[in-house]
Order: sequence, then structure tokens, then C-alpha cells
Amino acid sequence: MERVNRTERLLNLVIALMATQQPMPRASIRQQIPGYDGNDAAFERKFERDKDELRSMGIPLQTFMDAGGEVQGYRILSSEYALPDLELSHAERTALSLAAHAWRDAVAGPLAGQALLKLDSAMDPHLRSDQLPAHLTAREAALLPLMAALRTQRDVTFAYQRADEDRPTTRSVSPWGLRVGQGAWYLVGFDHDREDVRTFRLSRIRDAVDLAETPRRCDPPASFDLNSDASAEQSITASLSIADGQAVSLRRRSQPSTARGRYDISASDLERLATDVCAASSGVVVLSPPELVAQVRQSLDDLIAAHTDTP
Amino acid sequence: MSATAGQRLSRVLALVPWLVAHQGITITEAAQHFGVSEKELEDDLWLVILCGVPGYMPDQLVDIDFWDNGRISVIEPLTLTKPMRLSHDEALTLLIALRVMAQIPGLDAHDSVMSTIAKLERTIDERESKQIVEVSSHANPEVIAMLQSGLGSALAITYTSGSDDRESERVIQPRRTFSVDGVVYVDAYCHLAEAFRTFRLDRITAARKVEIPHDIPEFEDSRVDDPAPPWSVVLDLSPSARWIVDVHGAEVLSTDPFRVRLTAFSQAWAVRLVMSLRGAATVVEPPSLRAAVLASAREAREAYR
Repeated sequence: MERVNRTERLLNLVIALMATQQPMPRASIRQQIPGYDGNDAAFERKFERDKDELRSMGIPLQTFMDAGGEVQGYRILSSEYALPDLELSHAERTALSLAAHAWRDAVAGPLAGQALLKLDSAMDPHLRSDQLPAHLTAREAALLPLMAALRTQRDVTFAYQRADEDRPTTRSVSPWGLRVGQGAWYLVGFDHDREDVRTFRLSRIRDAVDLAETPRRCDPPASFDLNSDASAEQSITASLSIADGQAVSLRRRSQPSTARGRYDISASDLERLATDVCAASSGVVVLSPPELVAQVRQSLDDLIAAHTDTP
Repeated sequence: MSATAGQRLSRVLALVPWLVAHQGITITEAAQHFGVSEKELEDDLWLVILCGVPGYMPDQLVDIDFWDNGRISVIEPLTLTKPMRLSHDEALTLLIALRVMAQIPGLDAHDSVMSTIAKLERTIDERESKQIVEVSSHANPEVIAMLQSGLGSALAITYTSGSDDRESERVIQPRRTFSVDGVVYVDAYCHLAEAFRTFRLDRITAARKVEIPHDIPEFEDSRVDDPAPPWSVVLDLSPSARWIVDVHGAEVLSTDPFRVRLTAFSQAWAVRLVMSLRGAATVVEPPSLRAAVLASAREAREAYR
């Protein structure tokens, strides 16, 4: 029942603040709008929550101050509230509809549907998936709170399950951006415990994302680029021998071949390079550096040991 | 499914201006448009007509007539005549999908996608939206350009298979391009396989246009990379390999030992996966895969004698 009452209270608040000619003082809001009964503390709590809710919906609820910096009242200007006419052509409407439908199976589906309704269009439940050029399947509950945290520039805290750890660890992060690509969503931000920029895969964020009350502690530097790999710092060069027609993706990353079958590759991470080499089996042989040779040799010994049947 | 107060408010704020623009529409049609039941729509209308401007006398309330033959007429909408502007998150959601669509080459709607992006960006802080979400693609720009100029012509491509990282030369007749979570695919008739196949754009390393006289059978929607039937693989994983549960949708059979079952589409793919895990995954089943991994590791180890 509380929910019904709250929608009604919010709707009355919106209409009143749009209809008023002068900024409406807090006291009048409390007296005149149904649903704000209760003591001072209860009113403050409800009203603050309602303002946040309306603003998060994109309603331009403005606070007016007097010359002394005291809050005079609140108002929503119709000119700022209303959807501007985007003058969309028929083809553009179709593009928007297809864009919204891309989200239909994802956590942002309702948001996309809401947007379409404002644009005098709606989700079509009969649209077949092969009629849709783009599909966004993100089911990660973290996506929407992270979008909100980026919009309001606030820090977040969440439990993160690294693949190679048994339990999730709590991370405190100033979010700088989201990236989608290669089939996954990533958060890039400043990790306050590691004191460095980190990239987090959204599917490994467990449970809820908590937004801090205060503004984010760390802003991205002017040179920050969401697309560059946040963890790519140190660079190593390895020399590999690659058999014809094999390990194509590795070979593609190399500088032009110096001798037949020999390729020099720069990488940021020795471990990852060892993984790519092992994946290619006998198609790739490491010539240098010795650390990489040692790692690959050890990995192959581990593989042999793990798959040799003990009598 | 109960909506939050915010979601319901958002719907109601969209509903009234829409009804103003569609006077006389039936409750059934309106409910359909908003994706709710007729009961929910009527509940929304009952809620709206209780609201208005302070004073809340009958002439200060929103007035909507919906008793007449199930048709809805808005008599007094008060301030609710125009839809609310898009929230930042709504606009961003649409923009992300449009940017993903902009990366799909050969899309008929490409030009309208680009112009819609420009119009939507004007409604939110552009600098901010770019800062927040990036859509990254790794496809070869030349291949993109070739598909951009039309899907009609046949292409000779060099394709790197995802299952064994080897190259093959194929002639394909592209039919349709699409994107899933930022990965672009092309559905095409493959003259090598003599069947429809789906190719990942970022694995096409080279392409050139060719003439081919062949007739192509009716297009069928087939989203498979490999025609072999899938089979089941059981692996024991140490902690550093457990990420594959997420990535390959493996089913966890037990936690001590940490044993999972996953679907493989080819032996080459499965061997490659286990090799890449460098001993952190041990094949339990099938024995043929266990033997193949052992042979592959021994052969590779020979080079370091």
C-alpha cells in the first residue's frame, strides 16, 4: 500500500511544482501536498527521498536560494521538464525502436521501454530476434547502479569475485567509465585499496553495489581513455617460432617477421603470453626471454602430470 | 510483478500526455501500448484522477473520463500535456545500443542511426555520455568498409577459427550482419562448407570482392560455427581456472574437487582450452580428450629438450 501512496504523493508533488508561479517553500509543500504528515524528521526524510527520486528520473527539480543563501523554495519549469521535439524522421524512429529492443532481455530493458513510451513508441513483443541488428544481453544487476554512480559521480563499494580467488573481496572504487565489447561489460575506475586504476568485469560483481553518500574521491585524469587497457603498463618482448598456418592471432600481434617462422611480440603480461603459447600447443615455440621459456616448460610439465594416469 | 513507485510514476507521466495525443483510444489499446494489463491501466487512471494542484477541489484535479464504452478522454490534463524529457539513464541506454548498431557494417539503417545519435546526444551532456560508456570493436577496418558498401557481393575471406586458431580461405556470400554485446557477426553462405555459417567479424583478417556464379540455397538462420554436434566435457579446476564457469557457462558438479561440466563443440577447441589453462584444469571425461591433451602437451614439451 505504501507504494501506491508514494506514487500519488510524487505525482501531486510534480504537478504542484510545475503549476506554481513562485518557488514553493518547504513549509507549503509539507502543508499542502497529501502524504507528508508525520513529525519533522519524517517529513525531512520523505521529502529528501522524493527529491532524489524525481531527480534520478530526470525531472529538473530546481532549488531556489535567496540572496542570503537560504533555500527559498522549489519549482519545476515546464520548459525544462518537457521532452524537446527531436524532429525524428520515420527512419530515425525505427532506428530508436531497434536500439531500445536491443535491450529487451537485459537489465536495462525496462529503462529502454520507458524511453520509447516518451517518444510515442513502444516495445513490440512480436519482433523476432533475427529482425534485430543489435542484442545487448547484460543481466548483471550491477549495470544500473553503476550507471547511476557515474551520473552522480559517487564512489561505489561491491564484493568482487576474482576468478582465481576462493572468496569475493570488498572493493571500494571511484568509477570512471563502463565499457562494452568482446561480449562483456567492464567497469574502469580507481581502486582505493589497490591505489591504482583497475578494470572489473561486471559479471564478477556479487550482490549489491553500494553508492557512497559523498562525491567520488578520485576523478579521472584529463588524459584518461576508457578504451586503453587500464592494466597495460610494463611491456615485454618475446621471440617466438610459429608454424605455418598456426596461432594466427598471436602472429597477427607481432612485428614483421625477421626470419621465416620467427616473430617478435610485445606484451604487457608474461602470464597471458604464456597462456597463449600453451594454447597453441606445438604450433608455437618460445625462443626468448628465458622467463617465458621456463613458464611454458613448467606449464607443459604440469599438464603432462595432470593427465598421466597413475597405475 | 510490482513496479517501484518511481517506475509507476514514470509510466503515469508518460501515459497522460499520450492519452491527450490519442483522445478516444480504448483501454485495451492503451494497456497494450504501455505493456500492462487493462486492470493495471485502470488503476493508473484511478490514481491520476485523485491528483492535482494544491487545494484538490474537484476543479483542481486531473480529469479523465474512462467510463464510456471503454474509451478514454482526457478532459483536464493540468500540467501533464507533454511527455517528460528522457532521463540521463534512458538516453544513455538508447545511445549505447545506437553506438553498437553504428558499428555493424552493411546495416540499411546506418545513416538514420548516425543522425539519431546526434539528436539524442543533444539532449544530454555529450561530454559526459562519452566519458561514461565506450563501445569497443576489434574488427579490421578494411573488412568493415567492404561490408559497409553492401552485403550483396561475394567475398573471399581469410578466417581465423576460434576453436583452433588456424586460418582458412573461404568464399562467402554475406546475408546479414548483427551484433551481440558488441561482437559483430556476419551470417553468410559459405562456399567451402556449402552451407550457411556465422562468422565473427573480428576473426576475418582479410577480405576481397570476388565474382561467383553459384546459386545459393534459401537462407536459413543458423547460428553455429561448427556443424559437429556438441558433446560434454568434465573438468576438475583449481582456483585459477574457475573463471571458465562464468565465461563458458559451465555447470558446477561438485566443489571438492571443484568439478564442472561444459559443452564443447569440437575436440580442437577443448584441447586448446585445457592447454591454455596450463595444468589448472584436468580432464576427467571423456578419456579421448584426456589422451589428446596429454599427447599435445608431450609434443609441445619436445621442443624444450
